[in-house]
Amino acid sequence: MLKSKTPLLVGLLVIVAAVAFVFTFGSLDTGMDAADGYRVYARFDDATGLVSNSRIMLSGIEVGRLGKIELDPEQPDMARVELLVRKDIGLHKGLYDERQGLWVDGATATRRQASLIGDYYVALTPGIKGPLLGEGDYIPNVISQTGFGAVLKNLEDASSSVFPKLDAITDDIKAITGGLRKTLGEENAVADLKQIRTDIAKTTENVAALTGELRTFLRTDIYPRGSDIQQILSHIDRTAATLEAATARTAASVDKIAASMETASLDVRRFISDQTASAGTAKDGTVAHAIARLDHNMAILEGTLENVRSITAQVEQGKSTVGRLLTDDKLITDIERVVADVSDYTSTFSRTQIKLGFRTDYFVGRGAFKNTIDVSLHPRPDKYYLLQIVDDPVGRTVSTRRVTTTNDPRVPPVLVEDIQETTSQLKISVEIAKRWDFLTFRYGIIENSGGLGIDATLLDDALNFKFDIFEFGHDTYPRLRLLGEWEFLTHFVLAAGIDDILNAGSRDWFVGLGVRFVDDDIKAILPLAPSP
Amino acid sequence: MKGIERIGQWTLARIEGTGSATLLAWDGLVSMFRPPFRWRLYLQQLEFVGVGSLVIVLLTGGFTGMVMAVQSAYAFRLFNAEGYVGTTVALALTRELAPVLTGLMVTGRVGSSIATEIGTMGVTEQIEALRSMAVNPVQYLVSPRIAALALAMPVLTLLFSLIGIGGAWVVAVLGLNLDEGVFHARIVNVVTAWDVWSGLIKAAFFGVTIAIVSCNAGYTASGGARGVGLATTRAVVYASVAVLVVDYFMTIMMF
Repeated sequence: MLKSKTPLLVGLLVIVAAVAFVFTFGSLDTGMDAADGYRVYARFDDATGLVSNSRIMLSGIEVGRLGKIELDPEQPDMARVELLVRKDIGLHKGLYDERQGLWVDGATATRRQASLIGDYYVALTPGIKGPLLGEGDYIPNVISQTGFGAVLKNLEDASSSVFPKLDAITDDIKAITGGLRKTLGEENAVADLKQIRTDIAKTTENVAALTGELRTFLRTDIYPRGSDIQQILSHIDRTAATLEAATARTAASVDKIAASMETASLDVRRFISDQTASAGTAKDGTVAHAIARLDHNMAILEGTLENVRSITAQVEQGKSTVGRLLTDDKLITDIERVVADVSDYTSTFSRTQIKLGFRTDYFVGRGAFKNTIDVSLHPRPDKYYLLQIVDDPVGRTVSTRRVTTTNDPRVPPVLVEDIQETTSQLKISVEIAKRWDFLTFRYGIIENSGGLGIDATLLDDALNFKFDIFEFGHDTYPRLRLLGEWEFLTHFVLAAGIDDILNAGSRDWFVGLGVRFVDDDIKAILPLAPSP
Repeated sequence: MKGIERIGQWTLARIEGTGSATLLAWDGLVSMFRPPFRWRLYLQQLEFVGVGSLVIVLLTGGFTGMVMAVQSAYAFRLFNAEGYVGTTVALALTRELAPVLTGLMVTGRVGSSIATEIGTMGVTEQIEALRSMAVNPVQYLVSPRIAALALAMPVLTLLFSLIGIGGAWVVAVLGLNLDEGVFHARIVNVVTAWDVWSGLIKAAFFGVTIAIVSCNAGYTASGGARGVGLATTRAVVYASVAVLVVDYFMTIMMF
């Protein structure tokens, strides 16, 4: 009935259970037993958030756990927290300071917040003096309140002793500035510029020396006296602690607190008096010495300022050239206007784009080439001026009638000759163009005669149809030209069109190729061109 | 009148059931310490309850831990306090979830089987046969089962907790990329030995409860195969409820 493998399987289960048991309990942090540590107590006026078995930390290392938390049997208005501290951690009781009425340099227990959501623990400092605390002793210094409120309170205490000194310093500064003001108000002799320059140089030297001294003073006096300040601060610190303790205890200890406050302020006073001895007795490298040097420099500076004052008085009266320059209102108005004009001009100019174009057309019927050079100025995207130089194979046709009368019997008495001369001549177009959306209207001189033009610009300005009408009255009909331009590879232009559509005699097809680009260099040259 | 009579009968039946279960429990517990000692029966039951339930308990434990890690990580992320995922899972498992869920799984697997086995033996008069052979049927059938469940339940619970925390570690550290050091430190620092012990003690009591309720259901089965089936259902339902009720009272007693 009994399976033979049963003992084996149950045995395995037992082993697994044992391993799990040992692993689980072995890896748990079982906390502290009374045998591992000793018990001390701390009286907190506020033990909110502290719970039994909370951590006790020393320098961030756990050194124990909290035990029972209850009202103190001796002082029922305080919370007594039992601290179970590791045996190897020694806590000092500190030395009782009669004057201050508190334990100095002993262990402290502070209630600290571990996280924003309200975990608290007790932080210990072991202290450095006095006998070691034993089982059941009380930690002498306990701080329940940490955080911003406590910091503010400490600051208030400290500032109440420091502010009077600051006020005195402010008064001194006021006196100095008052003296300066008085000096500047007085009329005095005129000194020449040379003197001023020397004075300034001297002052600069003195200031440099002063800076060096200040640095020396910092190095020799302030830095080594860090410990003094530390001591003062620690006095203030302790005073704050005393205040806290005093509120919980009796009103009698207020006197002692006042005494300790006095000690702190005495220290401050001594430190300051060291630094502010009168100039004669000042030690080299102290503030007083530095101030004496500053005094000396101030005297020199005063002389310099006098010189400056007399010069500026002259300038104010417009006596010298500089004075006239500075006092003449008309001059500055003129300059302002000129500057405004210049800036207006330069802004328009810098906005203006200059496009250059070259194109060669081949006229199929005539078998001739026509070359065009365009320069167009675009001060605004919707407006431009076009200057064009054309080398036209049609040339310039000039018709003249020559009437010759003669008495030669061999020829008719009156000879009328109609002469049409076509000269190969450069033609010039000057046009003004205005654009609305994709249409541009041009007006001006087109190839040496008045004319009009309309451009239709499509496909992001890549395709351009131009329609020109000009040379009214030269032939039966005016010269009408239709031209399509396609810009490719950014700078190249392919063109094709019909010239002089209306006049059957000179109508011709043409194809052309050109380049077109924006040239900023030209812009730089233009202002150099002579202008009226 | 009929209704009131029925309520009265039902109540009386329950009270009678409780009484018979208590008597059976007493009988079973006392019989453990009386000769003859049939060690092999104990071992056999321990194998059935402990070794047999291992797989189902580990599966349940692993997934419970994983689900808890996912859910608590979601919740703690709202406060930027994902470091507490391990603590939460470990505390919940050791103190509460491991014993209760193990108890419910064992009820389903072992309790039903006990009720069926003893019920069948009852309706086929095998129990009477034992008695006629001068074998105390309670000592033969009930005592080993009580002992096996009381011993196996804490072991299973401990393994449930461990595997659950392991599952949570997999999800939290490998899956959700939480800080492994914090996960571990917060468990070790916060979970105390008493947390684990309380779970194990609960589990032992659950084991005894399951054994008694199931044995009683089987013992009192009557009416052939149908009676056995009803007894099995009764065993599972009553034992499950009993586990939760006992859990409540033990929790308020221990914490």
